[in-house]
Amino acid sequence: MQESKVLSQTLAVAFEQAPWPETLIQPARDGLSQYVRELRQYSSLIYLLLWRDIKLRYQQTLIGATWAILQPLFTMIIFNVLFGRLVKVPTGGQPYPVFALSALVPWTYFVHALTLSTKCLLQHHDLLTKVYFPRLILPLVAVLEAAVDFLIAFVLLLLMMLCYGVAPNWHLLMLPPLVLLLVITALGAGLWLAALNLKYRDVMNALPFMTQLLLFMTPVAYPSSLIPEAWRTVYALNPLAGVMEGFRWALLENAEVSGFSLAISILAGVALLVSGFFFFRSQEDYFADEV
Amino acid sequence: MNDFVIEIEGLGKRFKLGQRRGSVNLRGALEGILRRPFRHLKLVPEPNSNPYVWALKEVSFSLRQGDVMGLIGGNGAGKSVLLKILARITKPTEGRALVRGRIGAMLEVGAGFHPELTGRENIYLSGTILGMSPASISRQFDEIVSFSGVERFLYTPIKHYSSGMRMRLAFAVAAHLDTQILLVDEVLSVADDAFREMCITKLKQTAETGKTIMIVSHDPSVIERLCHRALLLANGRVMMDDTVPRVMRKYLEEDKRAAS
Repeated sequence: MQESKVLSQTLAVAFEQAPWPETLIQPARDGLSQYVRELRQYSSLIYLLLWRDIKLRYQQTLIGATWAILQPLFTMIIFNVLFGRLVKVPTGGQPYPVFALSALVPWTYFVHALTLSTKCLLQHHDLLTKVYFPRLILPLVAVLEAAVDFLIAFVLLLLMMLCYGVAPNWHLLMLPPLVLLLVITALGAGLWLAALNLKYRDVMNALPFMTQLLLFMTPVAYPSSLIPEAWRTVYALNPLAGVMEGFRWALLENAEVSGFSLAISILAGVALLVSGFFFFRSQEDYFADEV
Repeated sequence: MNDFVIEIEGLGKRFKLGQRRGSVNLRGALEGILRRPFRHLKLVPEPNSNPYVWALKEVSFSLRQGDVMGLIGGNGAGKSVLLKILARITKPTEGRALVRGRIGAMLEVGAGFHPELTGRENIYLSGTILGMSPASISRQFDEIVSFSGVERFLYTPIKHYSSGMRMRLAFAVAAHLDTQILLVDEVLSVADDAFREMCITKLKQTAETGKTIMIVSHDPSVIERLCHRALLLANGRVMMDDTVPRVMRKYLEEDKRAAS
């Protein structure tokens, strides 16, 4: 009698320690710790989807990897004609092509990451309705995928700097944290847009127009010193102003970045990421029903 | 201490009728806001005063490890919705389900397949999406390939495959899912008889290794061969939870009665 009791208790303990994960399915949102745990569990999926998207993109196109370079390059050429030659924007002594490209490369990344992220949920409509995985993976892959193009374009930028004899200084060390800030901002905005686009399909249509406007409100084609003193504070409220100027400062000499706009960029980037994460999570449960 | 792997209590799922599935735009949303005060005055016609449908209501049952359960019911009975909730693709409106073990869902074959990638690449892609680890896929790779019968075309993009080949490949990947719980939804209907036989045999082998399986099928022979327990669903509710012969009898009776 005693033995069987001990045996059943031992079995009970052994079973309780079974490694099978327990999942509770209920109307309320899944707990945050479970969510984070699952993200780690599905991390191999992130790499796989990233690999797939990159392979597909470069496999199907004729010009493949050069596409990553063409867009910033051609925009820079047009800007050079307009703002470098005709209007003659002050560049602090730097050749205009390098001046423009140093901000165009991160800018192109931002727009690309946002575009891929906005459509990623609709694009994977079949996955959303058939398989479970933490949906956050999709915008994350989008933002990382754009980063691959960014790296290629960055090589172009370095080559151009070499051609024009522009040498970087120690500011270059600040580049990795700036890249991180750029990715964080893109991911935060991307999470918002991805979830919104699922509910309101014309977000995708409005995006090119909005980014075009934003381009002219950001110091990419021109330095922010062009903005009159009175408006400079308002101008700096654009979260991308600080990042773009920061890139320029990291790469070139005689480039300035105001501490204020950089601080705004950091705050805005983090705020976008945190708010985007929670908004996305709040909408996630309904994706399969709405797509 | 119990050894249930799936415990479902009072599960329910409600859908909104006429819900324009996602194709709302900002203009539509604005129009909705502007219209709302007028609804009370009944100036603007109200579409439907009861716009909800319960696809599932008060569903409760439990499965032990090793149970193979069939879900039977007419179209729209709620079988697929139940599997979707268990596969965590959609959330229940009420009730809860406790699941012990990892779930693998075969809800439609070919999830994650991309036409431009080769058969081999799609095996890894689909397998990872379904929840297999890369090591597990590598280990079973040869079996998956021989099961699907597409050895010769492994390095060809699957857009060149026939639909039958694609289906066989997709099912081959899904059939080798090594999760403790398997949910199978009506995936055999597109298979030809020979392949169907292979699939049923494979499922039977999987069941014998002690995995817990839930199968939806319209084909009574599939249910009778694989399952020892069945659930009859109608209008989102559980009509019967019993052994397969009894449930099949009731199902056929209801069918006959509905037809007459």
